[in-house]
Amino acid sequence: MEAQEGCRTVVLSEIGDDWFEILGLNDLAGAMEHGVTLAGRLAQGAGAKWELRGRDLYVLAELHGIFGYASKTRLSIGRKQIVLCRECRAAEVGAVLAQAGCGDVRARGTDLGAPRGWVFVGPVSPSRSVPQVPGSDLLNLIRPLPGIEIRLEGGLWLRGNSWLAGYPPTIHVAGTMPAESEVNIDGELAQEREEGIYVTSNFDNPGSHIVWCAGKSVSYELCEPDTHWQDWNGNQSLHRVFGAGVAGIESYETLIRAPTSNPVLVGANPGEVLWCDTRPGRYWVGPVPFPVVWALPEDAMHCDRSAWRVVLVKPIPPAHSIVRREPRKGAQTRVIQWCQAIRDSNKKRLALWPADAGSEELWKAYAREARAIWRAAR
Amino acid sequence: MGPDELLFWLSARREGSWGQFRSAAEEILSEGTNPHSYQDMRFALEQLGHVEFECRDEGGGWRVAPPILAVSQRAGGYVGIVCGARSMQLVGRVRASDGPRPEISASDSYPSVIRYQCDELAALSRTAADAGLGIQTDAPVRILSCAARIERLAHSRPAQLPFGKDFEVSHFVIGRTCRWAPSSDIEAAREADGLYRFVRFQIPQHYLKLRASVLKVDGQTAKFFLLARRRRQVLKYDRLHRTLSLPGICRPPLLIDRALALCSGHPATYDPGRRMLAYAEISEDVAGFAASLLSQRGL
Repeated sequence: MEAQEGCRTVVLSEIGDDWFEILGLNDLAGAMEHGVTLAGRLAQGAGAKWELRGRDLYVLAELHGIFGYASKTRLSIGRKQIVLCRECRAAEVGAVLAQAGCGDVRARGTDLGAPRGWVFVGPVSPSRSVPQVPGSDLLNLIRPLPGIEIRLEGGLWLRGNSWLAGYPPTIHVAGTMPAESEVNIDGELAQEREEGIYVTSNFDNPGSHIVWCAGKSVSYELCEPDTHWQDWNGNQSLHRVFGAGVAGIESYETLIRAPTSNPVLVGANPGEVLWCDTRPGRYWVGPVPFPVVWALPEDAMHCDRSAWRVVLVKPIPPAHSIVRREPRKGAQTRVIQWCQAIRDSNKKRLALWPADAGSEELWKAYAREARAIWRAAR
Repeated sequence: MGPDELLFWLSARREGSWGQFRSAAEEILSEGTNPHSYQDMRFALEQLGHVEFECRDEGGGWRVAPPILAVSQRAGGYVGIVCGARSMQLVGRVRASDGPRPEISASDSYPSVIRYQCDELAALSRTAADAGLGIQTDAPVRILSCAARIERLAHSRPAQLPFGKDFEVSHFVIGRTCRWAPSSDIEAAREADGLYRFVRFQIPQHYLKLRASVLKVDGQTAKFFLLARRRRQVLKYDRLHRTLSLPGICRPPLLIDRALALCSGHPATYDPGRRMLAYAEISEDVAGFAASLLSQRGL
C-alpha cells in the first residue's frame, strides 16, 4: 500500500490487523521529533490519514498480533515496556523510571538500534505508581498511575478478544489491589497461581469468560475453529493445485505407469492414442484421459523384434466403430494414428507381454479392428 | 510454542496478509526452543501443502489449504500424509481413529508430520473419512501433472529491468557450481543475457534477459531454464536409497518441490557441507517425471 507524506510517496506494509509499517523511512529520528502525516487509501477505497505528533518521549509495549513493540499512550505497572526518548532527556527519564521501581534504567543508544539522537531504556517493568505533576509535563506519561489493570497476555491470540481454545491467555492483574478485593472469573473466585497471575478451574474452557476485579472487568473468548471446510473443488477462483489436493481431475483420467520403452498408449476406442513425453528412468507415470489397454513401442517397424514387446496394461475388448470415408484426412487423424500404431506392431510380429492365450486373442481382435477401420478410411 | 501452534493459528484464521503471517510467525516461533525465521517456515508450509502463498510483490497474502490425506503408492503399499489445515480437534480424531496407526514426528522446522503406512488404499480412505479429512490419491504424480515444463517459463511476463539505488542486484552465474554474483542495475541493463535478481525491502524479483527482451520470471523456473539451455545436469537420483538430490541453490519450482516432499512427508534436507538438497523416498517414476519437467535429461 502506498501513502503520501507531503509530496513524497512512501510504502506501507501491513504487519497486523490494521497495523502498518513504513518501509524505507529515511529520517525516523526527524519523524519522531517533529511528527509525520501520511495520507493514503485503504483496500476498500476509503481515504485514511495517519498523524504522529512529534514529541521527545514514546512508550512502547507488546501488542497482540504484532511481533516486537508498538507505541502506547503511557507506562503501566507490571508490564514489560520500552521508553524511547531524545538523548537530551535521558537523565530525567531515568530518574522518573527509577522512582517507578524499574530497576535497570541504563539508556542505550544507536549501537543497539535507537535512531540517531535518541536513546531507549528497557524493557522495564514498573512496580509502583508515581504521583503525577500538575500541568502538561510530558514525563507524566512515564509516571505510572495507581490502581489495577487486568491484562490478557500470551496464548494463541486470534483477533479482538478471541483466543484459540487450548491456548488461553494468562490473566494478569497488575497494580496494587485495594484491600478486601478479589479476582473473579465467570463469577468464580480465582486463585493466584503466581504473583499477579490468576486462574480458576474453568478459565481455559472453550466459550466466553469475564474477569472482574475491583470494579474493572475484561472479557475474552476461547474459540474452537470451524472444522467444516468449503468444497475447494467448487471454488473456481482457486488454483488447480491447492495444498496437496488437485482440483478439476476428470473422472475418466486414469493414472498409468508404463515402461518408457513403450511410450505409445492405446485405448479401446479408435482414436484413443497418446504419446508419452520422453523421460529418464524406466517408467513413465501420469494421468491419461482414457483407460489404457496397450503400451506399444514408439517406432515398431524399426525396432529389434527380439528385445521389444507389446505390453498389455488392462484387458478391455476393442470398441467397434463405423468409420466414414472423409474427404479431409485430418478429421480422422487420431483414429488413423490409433490404427497405424496397432498395425505397425502387428506387422512387425512383436511378442506380447504377458505371453498368454488371453492376451493373444485380445491383440488379434485389436489388429482386426485396426485393419477394418484402415480399409474403411482409405 | 512452535510450528504446530503456528499451523493451528493459520488454520483458525484461514487467510490473511503477508504481514499478518510474518508477525504471527515471528511472535509464535520466537517462543520456541529453536526459533526459525518466518521465511523458512513459509517455505516449509508451502512445500508440505499446508498453506498457499501468493506473490509478495503482487500484494499477496496466504490461504490455508483444506485438510487432506495425500496418498502415494509405493512398493507393497500406500503412504498417507496429513496436509492442510489442522486443529487440535483434528489431531485428536487422527490419534483416536481406528485402523492404521499414525506415525507422528515432531520437528522444530515445520509442523509435525502425521503419516500413515498401509497395505490397502481402502483402509486409508476409511481413516481419512473418520478423521474428517479429504483424500488425494497419487498426490505427488497428480501435482506433477499440473506443473508446467520449465521450457514454457510459466508465470513469466514481459517487463522492464528496474533501476534505482534501493535495489540490491545479483546475477545468476552457471560455472562449475551455480551462484549469485553481485551486480548492479547498470550492469544488468548493459550485460548479456542471463538471470538477474533485484531485491528491495527483502522482496526478490527475478528478471530474465533473453536477446532483446526482458521477462519477469519465477526465479526457480528461470534457473532450470538456463541450466537446460547449457545442458547442465544437476539432478542426481540414487536408486538404491531412493533419494533425489540437487544443489541447494537450484531448488525446484514450488509444485515440483511439493510433489517431491509429499513422497515422504518431510521437506528436502539440506547438507550445508555439500550444499545439496535431498528428497527422500522418491520412486524412480516420480524422479523421472520431475526430471522431465525440469528438462534434466539423465538420472
